[in-house]
Amino acid sequence: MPDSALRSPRLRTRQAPVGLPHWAALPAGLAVAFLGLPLLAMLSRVSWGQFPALVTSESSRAALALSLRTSVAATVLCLLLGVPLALVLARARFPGQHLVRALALLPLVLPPVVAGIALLYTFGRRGLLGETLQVAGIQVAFSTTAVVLAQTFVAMPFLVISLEGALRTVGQRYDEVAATLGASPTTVLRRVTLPLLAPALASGTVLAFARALGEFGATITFAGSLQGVTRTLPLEIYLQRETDADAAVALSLVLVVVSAVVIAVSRRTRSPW
Amino acid sequence: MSLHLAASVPDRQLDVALERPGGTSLAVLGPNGSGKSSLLGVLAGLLAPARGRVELDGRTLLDVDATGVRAWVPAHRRRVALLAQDPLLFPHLDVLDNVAFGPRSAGLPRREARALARRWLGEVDAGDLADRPAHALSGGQAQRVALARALAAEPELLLLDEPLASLDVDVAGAVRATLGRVLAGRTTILVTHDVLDVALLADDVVVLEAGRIVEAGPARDVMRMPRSAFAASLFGLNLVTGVAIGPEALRTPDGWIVAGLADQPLSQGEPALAVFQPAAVSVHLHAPSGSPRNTVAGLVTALEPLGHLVRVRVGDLKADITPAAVADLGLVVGNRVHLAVKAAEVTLDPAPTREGSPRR
Repeated sequence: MPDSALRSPRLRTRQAPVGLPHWAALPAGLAVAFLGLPLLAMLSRVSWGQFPALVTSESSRAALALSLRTSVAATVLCLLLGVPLALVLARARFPGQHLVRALALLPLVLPPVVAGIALLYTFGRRGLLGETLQVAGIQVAFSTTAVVLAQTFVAMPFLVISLEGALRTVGQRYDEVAATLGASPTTVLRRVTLPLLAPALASGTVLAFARALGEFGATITFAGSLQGVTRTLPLEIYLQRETDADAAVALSLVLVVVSAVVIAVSRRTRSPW
Repeated sequence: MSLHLAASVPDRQLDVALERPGGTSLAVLGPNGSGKSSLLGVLAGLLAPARGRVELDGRTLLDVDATGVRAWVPAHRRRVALLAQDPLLFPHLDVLDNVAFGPRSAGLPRREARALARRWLGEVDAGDLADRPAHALSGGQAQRVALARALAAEPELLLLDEPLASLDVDVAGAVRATLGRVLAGRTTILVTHDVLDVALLADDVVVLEAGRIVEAGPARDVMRMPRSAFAASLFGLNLVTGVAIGPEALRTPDGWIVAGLADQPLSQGEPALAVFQPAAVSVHLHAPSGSPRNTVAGLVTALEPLGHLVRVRVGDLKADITPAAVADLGLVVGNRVHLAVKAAEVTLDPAPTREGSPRR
């Protein structure tokens, strides 16, 4: 550890800020207040005495368990499909590539309700694939599977974006060296590309998980709201708000805490090299 | 383990053919952008030529002609390892596992691969680094480890792309000595800008200019008697080209007549070149009279310190004279001077044809 005198703020050299007009502090402060106040307002409404009972009620526990289960499943699906998609987008060259990239990012800007409708017309009983699935005895819409599909649909772009960017930053030089050392493309992916991407993979996964956990619009449209089957925590909060505002606030706090943990984890995952 | 290469990469203006006997090392010289790295890329399987054919030890690594790709062995099955200026050690592995990477990829169990890696680390004098993380090495250490990693993959052809260029002079010297030891008897292609690499590591030399081979020959001959402007400048020699006007004289396009000594008499009217040391050139303010010398007049374009001498540049010509002589002559840039060189100091030779006649 360096001498403590060196660490005192008095002696530390500081970068003089350039390109930061003084007036920027005002709107920046407003922004912080705008983002922070609602959280405070909600916290002020939490009835702490009832909190344990509210978040452990049967419907709350069912919703929380369902949310965690479906979000994990959706995150796994995002990884299985999104990692190869990011690889292809970053490294392959093919006609129509920019269209594929735009398609992969579409769920970021698409209203989730619209995503739900689109999924319904794909996997619903009368949907594009739904009819075939129906014949095979598989019904997707309004099932837990539908929740996972809705969450995967809206969460995948978060993973793909962060991975594709990282792939471009890392470049292909390490992969080329690995290939000249005799590693097959799959070995290169497993032993070089993915380990080098670990930080981006971790933060992309966390972001995708958070997005899946918070999914509402596509879920209620495509999967409905059946307790224990499709009623995830956000849906439960929305419904409770009508009947039991205290329960809604308590459950909201649970989601805030989960989100805060997610952000903390993703901030921690910095490149070790 | 002979190597045959013919490749044309129009995007990079590369069009070369070369033939290497196994177990020898070839230095590839040339200005930046002349296609040296593209050449290595074609051999390593990282760059697909528009047309070309590469054979290594009887195996066809690639065969592409106008009708399409007839053969393409991907990089990982070529047994061609590449060591670049940047060691590119895998940052998530320690030194030992970096070196064990090739053997592991070849299917060796972890224990055996690591044992092999230790042996190669010892071979390049880096045995004590085995347990370090890859990012905790100095430049020279990292390059030794990268060399061990390349060798541990047991390549049949080793490609080196300016492997010492980013190292300090004394570190480069030590790593060069190691390279000299481990490259002996290996088929190697070495891209370099360093005369020491040529002198100590290369059996033969090719010079690339704008993607074409303009000179090829044994390293010793090229250093003594370069035939391309690039090689002459790299090895610090004066090179003058022109047309033979007698068995031991040529005339440059500017009309300067250079007399010298030729191993074989020049044929009159044929292209010829003359090579001489800058130290053999004397500088005068007035045209020297008396003994028969080759003289040419010109303006001083630069004065550069060069060890204990001063290099006087007059156009493309160089004369190395003492600082005292510079002071006596009162030389400054822009002076008009006469350069003189004794015929006995000038070596004359027929000029190669443009397509680079390998003289071997």
